[in-house]
Amino acid sequence: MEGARGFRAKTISRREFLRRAGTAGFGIGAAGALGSLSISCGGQQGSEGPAPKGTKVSGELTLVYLGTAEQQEAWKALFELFREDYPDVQLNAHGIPADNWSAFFDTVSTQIAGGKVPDVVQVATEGQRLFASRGLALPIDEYIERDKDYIEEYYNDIHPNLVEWNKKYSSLDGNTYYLPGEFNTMCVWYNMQLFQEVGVDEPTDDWTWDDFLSAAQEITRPGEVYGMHVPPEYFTGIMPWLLTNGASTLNDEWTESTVDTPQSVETFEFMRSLVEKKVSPSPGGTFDPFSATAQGKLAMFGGGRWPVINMRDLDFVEEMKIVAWPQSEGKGSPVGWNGYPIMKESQNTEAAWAFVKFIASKRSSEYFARQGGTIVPPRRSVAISDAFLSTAPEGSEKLYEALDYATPIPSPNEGSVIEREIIDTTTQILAGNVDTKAALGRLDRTIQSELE
Amino acid sequence: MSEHSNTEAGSPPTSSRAGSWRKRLLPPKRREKLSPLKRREAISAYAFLSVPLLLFLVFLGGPLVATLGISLLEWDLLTPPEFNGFDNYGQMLSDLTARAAIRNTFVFTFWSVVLHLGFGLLLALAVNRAMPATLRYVLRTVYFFPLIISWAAVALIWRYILDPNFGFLPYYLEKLGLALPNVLVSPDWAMPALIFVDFWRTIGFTFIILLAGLQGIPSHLYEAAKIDGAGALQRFWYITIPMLSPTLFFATVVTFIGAFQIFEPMFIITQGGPGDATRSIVMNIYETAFRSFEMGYASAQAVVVFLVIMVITLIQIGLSRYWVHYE
Amino acid sequence: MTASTKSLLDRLRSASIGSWALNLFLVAVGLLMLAPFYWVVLTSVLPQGKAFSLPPKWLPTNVNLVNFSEVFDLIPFGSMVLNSFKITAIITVGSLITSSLAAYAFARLEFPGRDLLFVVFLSALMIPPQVTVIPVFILVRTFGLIDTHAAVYLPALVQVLGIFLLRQWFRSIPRDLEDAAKVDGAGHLRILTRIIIPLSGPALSAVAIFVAQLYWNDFFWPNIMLSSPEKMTIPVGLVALQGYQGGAPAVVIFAAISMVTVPLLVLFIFAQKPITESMAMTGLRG
Repeated sequence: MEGARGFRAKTISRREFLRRAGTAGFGIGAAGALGSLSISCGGQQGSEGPAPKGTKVSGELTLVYLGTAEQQEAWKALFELFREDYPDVQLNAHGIPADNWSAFFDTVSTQIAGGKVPDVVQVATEGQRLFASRGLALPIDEYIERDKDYIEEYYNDIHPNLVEWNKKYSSLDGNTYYLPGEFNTMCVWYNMQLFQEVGVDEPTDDWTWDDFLSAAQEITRPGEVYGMHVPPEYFTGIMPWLLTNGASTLNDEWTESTVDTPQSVETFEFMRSLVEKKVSPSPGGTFDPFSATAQGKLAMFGGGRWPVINMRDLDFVEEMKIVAWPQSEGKGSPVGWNGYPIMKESQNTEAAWAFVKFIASKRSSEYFARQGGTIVPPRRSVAISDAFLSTAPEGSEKLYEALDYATPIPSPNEGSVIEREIIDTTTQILAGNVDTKAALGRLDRTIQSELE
Repeated sequence: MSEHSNTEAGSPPTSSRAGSWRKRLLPPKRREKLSPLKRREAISAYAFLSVPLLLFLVFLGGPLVATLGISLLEWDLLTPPEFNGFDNYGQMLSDLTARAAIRNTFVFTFWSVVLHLGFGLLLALAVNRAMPATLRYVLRTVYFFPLIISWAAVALIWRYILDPNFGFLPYYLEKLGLALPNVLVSPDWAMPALIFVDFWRTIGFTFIILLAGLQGIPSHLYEAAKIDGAGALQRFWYITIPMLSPTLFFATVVTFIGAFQIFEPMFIITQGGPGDATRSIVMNIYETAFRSFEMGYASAQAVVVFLVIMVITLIQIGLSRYWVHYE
Repeated sequence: MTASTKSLLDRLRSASIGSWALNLFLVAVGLLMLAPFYWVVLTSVLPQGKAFSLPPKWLPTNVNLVNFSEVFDLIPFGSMVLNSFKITAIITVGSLITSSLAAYAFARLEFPGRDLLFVVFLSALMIPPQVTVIPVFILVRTFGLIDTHAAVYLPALVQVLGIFLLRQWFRSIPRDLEDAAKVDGAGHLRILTRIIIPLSGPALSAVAIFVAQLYWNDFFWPNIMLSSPEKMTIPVGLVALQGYQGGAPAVVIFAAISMVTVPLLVLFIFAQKPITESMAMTGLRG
């Protein structure tokens, strides 16, 4: 029930999210607020393979996304862009509110059983493997083969890691269901103005945990000014610290828990010490890092692309700068991206594929960059262009550069349950209610049993 | 044509209760035809009752029966419902969250009743003394006021008061050496914190009720007792408590029913957390129905809440004959 | 002065000191009870940067009303207030009407099944709202009334407690006036509206008070039925829209709460007796 807030938060509007979730302990998650439209791949009645190149694309397309009706407007704008090329296609977006990806896919399956077959679905990394395992998605290898040139151009303009991760993680049966799409990574957003006021040297991309700690402590005035926001959130609070210390919640294949390795324990103890020293606010309250920063009460917080919206609202963009996460063992960042699988049962796979391709197009990337979305467009050419970098803090290109060293957010099929447990345990650790090592030991056993 | 005037025909018999209740509850025998006058009256009655009765059936009676029915189904509102028998009820036994919710609710209710009766009585006794009328008016006002404010506003306020970073309560507690800064995420302290918040808001209710009860005790009883040499404690035990017992009984029943249905503070302040530490059963019903869309399971839980309230209230009524003293 | 007089005076004196100490204590605790509200008002007159500082400055030095203007900018507070008024008014007036009709029928009219029906109605008092919410939700959804005000006020138009209380009251009204009216040919409706109702001021206002208070403050039901911010009532809106993104920061929410709480406090100071008595009699501790 309380499940994967991180998954939902990405794609539902803030208002609806707040209405449902309250502000304590929610995660922003990987992909941005704009869902992806799933485009069904072309083809006649389902899996007969792609029609020959050049076939006219027409008909109706339905896309479903995890979210509510409030994102409709954003979809409409994107659809209009698509229809410039394909005026014969009618597009509908359909939001399905759900507590987590599992519940979302349940609803999609139920709707299909009831005769309402969507063509395309938007799925973020956290749900991709689960979705593929449900057997609902159409393998798109043949479509990729048919439109090889287009796809290769796309793959060449996106980071090779995205291509590789997509291949490795998004499904277990060797088929391709997704093209990697827009994404988010984690960097540190810092209040340059506050640093200068206090007279602390600004961070560099190679700064270490020690550099970070001394800077944070110098700026911290207990109870008045906090150095860093350390929330018990999966993507935004926990993973960056783990990954920069050579640890993670799960192993590389997402089959085993690694939360109680020495590096992981060390990481959680470090996070707890930040709260203890009042460098970070305590968990469980209603601390808003964005307005706190704008008021000079917070020096740093972690974020991907999405804080840019809040900071623009607060008129506090020029005073911010983005830098890579401080490292202990090495650079690190979680990454999550959107994928747009086509439904096996779709009746209009040709139009669906056209839409999937469109999402990968430069125009679409520019749309994401321009509309001030909360995700980073996948195309390098766009992610370092003016459309993306203007009215954004200096260093925004680091979000793209983080792909060099990022790690996909662990997303096994049981992801939502595991995430909730991790968040609960982290909350208790940060609050100082439990012994870190013991708690992580218990968490390890719990996660392990979930994975089996 | 009846010669009786309407008033005569209309008034219920004042003969002894036993025996005639049957006559009153059951419809008149068939062979007693209603006179035209009475028929007109009955028609008027049905006309008057049409709207209330319709509303009652649609929004109270009907839904009660419907909930019973839905509790036997598995239904998510998107697909046709499936008959499930008593599986939903069985699920409650194995569902850790539901069990935690029920346990939490009982704990909350117990403490709520104890605190309300204890402090409510103390407060009522204190305010029932001779004092300037203005002072009494002021005291009644300040203690009852939080009840006028919606739970939503109260919960929001306390959420910020208890906030580990901004709230003034953790701050002052720490200064006093009772460092409990993070009640909202403490599995041990979250529920006590909510019990306290609920107490703060609703103590005025029990206080006013008990005060009214105290004020209804005839003072000549006390005077007679004093003349007989009864001390304060004896007067309390032998006069106040028995004379107050109907009110105490009413307060207990009402506090229990209200506490068992508690929802807002859990929902707004802690969202049932940390973990399941503050999840109440009504909150669980809400989440099961409107987040997970498991209508059948949620209905089963609602039926259980209904039964618990009914059974415990009936038990309380049954026990009342041993200690409640009616004149 | 005799010994007994002296000891009597001593007892009076010590009684009053102890008594005054207790009174003082009661007042102090009572003021502590109100401290949270005071803090809310205090916080709302501080700009966001200065609010929530610890220790709180209980005596404000710089009063700034910026948050109050922001209330209307950041959240649809005007709509929320209007919605609350509208829904509460409809429910109060509507339920007074339905309750009066039903109470009159039960109190004054003879018809088959009257007492059985009354018992059935009364038993509904034992039904907690959670038991009816799911089917009513489904019903409302079927008629497409989710996220409308009708979904909130329609179910509330039947108030069993109101029917019960008004019936008690009606029965206690002497029948002479009605008899006279009947001789003049008055029908039941006229009797109800021209004779009974005007004599029922206290009962009607008691019912009106508890119904209005109950639904003005209700959160559970409108929270389920309403999802658009412009349709929300005050309690639902305040909870849904707190939090900076898409809503309002705490200070602004506090300003909104102050705007609702302070007038209620003033109202309550003057109307405490009828309000507390009405609410206490309902047994709804909610």
